[in-house]
Amino acid sequence: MSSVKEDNIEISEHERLLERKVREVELIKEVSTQVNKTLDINLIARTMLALMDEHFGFKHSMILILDDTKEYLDVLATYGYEKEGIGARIKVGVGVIGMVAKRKKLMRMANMRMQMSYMQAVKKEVVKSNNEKIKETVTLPGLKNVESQVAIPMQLDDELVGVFSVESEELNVFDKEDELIITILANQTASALQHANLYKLEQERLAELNTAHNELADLNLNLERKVEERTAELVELSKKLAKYFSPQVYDSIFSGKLDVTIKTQRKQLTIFFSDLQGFTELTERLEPEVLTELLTNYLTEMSKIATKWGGTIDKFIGDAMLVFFGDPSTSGHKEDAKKCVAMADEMLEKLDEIRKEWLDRGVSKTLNARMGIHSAICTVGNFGSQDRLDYTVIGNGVNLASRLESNSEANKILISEDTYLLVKEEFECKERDTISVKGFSYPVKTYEIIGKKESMFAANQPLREEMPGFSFNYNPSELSDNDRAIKLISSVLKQLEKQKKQVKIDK
Amino acid sequence: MIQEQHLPAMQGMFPSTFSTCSKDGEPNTTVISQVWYVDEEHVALSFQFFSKTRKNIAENPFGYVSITNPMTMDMYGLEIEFVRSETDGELFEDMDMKLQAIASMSGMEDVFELKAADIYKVHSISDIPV
Repeated sequence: MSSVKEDNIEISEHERLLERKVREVELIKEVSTQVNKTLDINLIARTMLALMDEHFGFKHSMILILDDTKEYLDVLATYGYEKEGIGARIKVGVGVIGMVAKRKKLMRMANMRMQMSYMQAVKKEVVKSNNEKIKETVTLPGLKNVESQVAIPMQLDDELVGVFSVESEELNVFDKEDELIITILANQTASALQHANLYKLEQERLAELNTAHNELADLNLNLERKVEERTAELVELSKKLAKYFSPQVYDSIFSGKLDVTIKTQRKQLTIFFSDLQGFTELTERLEPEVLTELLTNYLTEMSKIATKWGGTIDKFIGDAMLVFFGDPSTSGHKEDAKKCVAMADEMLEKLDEIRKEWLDRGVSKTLNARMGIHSAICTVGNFGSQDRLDYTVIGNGVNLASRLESNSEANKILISEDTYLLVKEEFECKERDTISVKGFSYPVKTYEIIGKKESMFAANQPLREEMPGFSFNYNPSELSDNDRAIKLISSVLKQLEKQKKQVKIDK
Repeated sequence: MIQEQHLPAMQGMFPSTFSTCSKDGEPNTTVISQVWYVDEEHVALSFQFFSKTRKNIAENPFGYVSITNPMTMDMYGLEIEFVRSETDGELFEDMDMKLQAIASMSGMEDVFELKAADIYKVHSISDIPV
C-alpha cells in the first residue's frame, strides 16, 4: 500500500516537473519570438519582464545595464513597480544586485529583512566604537520590503553587461528551478541586448557619419564662400593697384608671367617722352584744384591712347610722361616703334581737342606738348629694394628720348635716327638739326614726324586739320550731303586761290 | 545525518543559538544569524568577529547549535565539532557574497567582513521538543 502511495507521490512530482518544463519551453519560445521582432533595447527588456510574470508569476523584476565606467548599473527596464525607476542606478558592489555584478555570480536570497535587521543591530554596536568606516544605509531601486530575490549576472564572453533581478515581498519564494529559468532568460536578454546594441551603435555611427558628412558639406560651402569673398576682395584690391601700374605690367604680374622679384633684362625698346611746355608757368596762375583737374584730364586721355596702342606707361613726372614699347610684350622692334609714333601722333590730335576744351573753361594760356622718341637697347625690369620695387626702364636710351623731347618744337614729335630707320616707311619725316647728348660720343641725327604717309589721301579715312584761320574736319562715314561738301570746298578753294594771287600782287 | 526536513532551518530565516565552553568549563551562548548546510555531515558558521565563541572553540572545539524550521517551527539540536576554517572556495565565496550584499546596503561593507567559513562536523541531530 505504502509503495503505491509513494509511486503516486513520485508520479505527481514527475507531472509537476513535466508541467514546469512545458511552461519553461513555452516561455523561452515566446521570448525568442518577441525578441526577434525588434531591435529596440527597451522594448526587448520590457517584453521579457512581462512574459516572466505571465508564465511564472514573477511580479517584480528589473534589468540593469553596466554603464561605460563599469562602476554603476543603470536601470534599463522594470516590471511591477509603483515607479518605473528608469534613470536610477546602483553602484557595483552595493546590495544584492551590486554584489552580483561585482562577483559575476548568481545570488538567491530568501529572508532579506531578517538579515537586514541583524546587520542593523550589528551596526548599532559598531557605531558605539566610532568606527569611521561606517557609511550611510543606502536606498536601492526595488521593493521596499523585499524578502526574496534572485539576481543573475548577464554576461557575454565572460564580460558583464548587466544584471537581471526578480524580487518578492514573500519569504523564500524562489527555488533552484526558478534560478534556472531566470538564468536562461538573463542569458537570452544579454545576447538580445548585444544585438540591439550593435544595431544601435551602427545606427549611431551612421548618424554620426551623416552629421560629419553634412558638416563637411557645410564646411565646403563656407570655404567656397570664403574663397569667393577673399577673391572678390583681392579683385577689388588689384583693381585699385592696377591704377598704379601700366595695364600691360599689371596683366603680366597678375597672370603670373612677370615675377615680382628684383630681376631685369636688356631689351630693344622704343621710348617715348612728353612734356607740357609752359606748364610750370601755368601752375603759378591757376588754383591747385583746377590745375589738378586739368592735369588729370590730360594725363587720363594720354594714358588711354598709350594703352590703346599697347604702350607700357612707365611713370608720370608731374605733367611729363614716360611710355615705352617692347616690354613686357613686344610686336617686333619695327612694329613697336611704329606703334609708338602712331601713339604720339594721336596724342597730339587729342591735345588739340583738350586745348579747345580748356580754352572754353577760361584757361587762355595755350597748352603745347613736346614729344621725343628713341629706339635703343635698354635695361628693363624691377628696380629697387626688397620692400619697394619699381618696374621701370633705365639706360642711355631713356636720357636721349628725354633730350629729344626737350629739343622738340611745340606740338611736334622729334625722333632719333634709330627710330627714324624703323618708321620711315610709314611716316613722313623731315630731317632736323643734329644734337649732342651727354653720354653719346657722336652727334645724334634727329627727325620730325610730319604725318602718316598714306593717311593724307587714304580713301574713306577721316581727315582733320586745324590752323589759325582754317579748320578742316572731314569724316566720310558721317557725311550725308556730298554735293554740298563739294560746293563748300570749291568755294573755299576759289577764295584761297584769289587770296594767293592778291598776296603776289601785294608783293 | 542531515536530512531534507532540516534544510529549511538552515536558510537563516530564524536566528540560531550556539553554545560553547571554555577550557575552564565556563559556558557561553550566542545568537547567530545562520547555520549553513555544507553536506550531510557538515555545517558551516560564519566567522566575522573575534568573540568569546571563537576563543572558546580555539580551546575546546565542541559546541551545540539549535536551529528552527520556519515553516513548521520544529527545532533541532546539533552536536558539532570544529574541523577547519576556509578562507576561499565555493562555500566561502557564497557566504561572503551574501553577507557583503546585506552589509553594503547598511553602509557596513568596509566594517563587516567574513574572516572565514568555519566548518563543523555534525555528530548528532536531535529534535528539540517545544
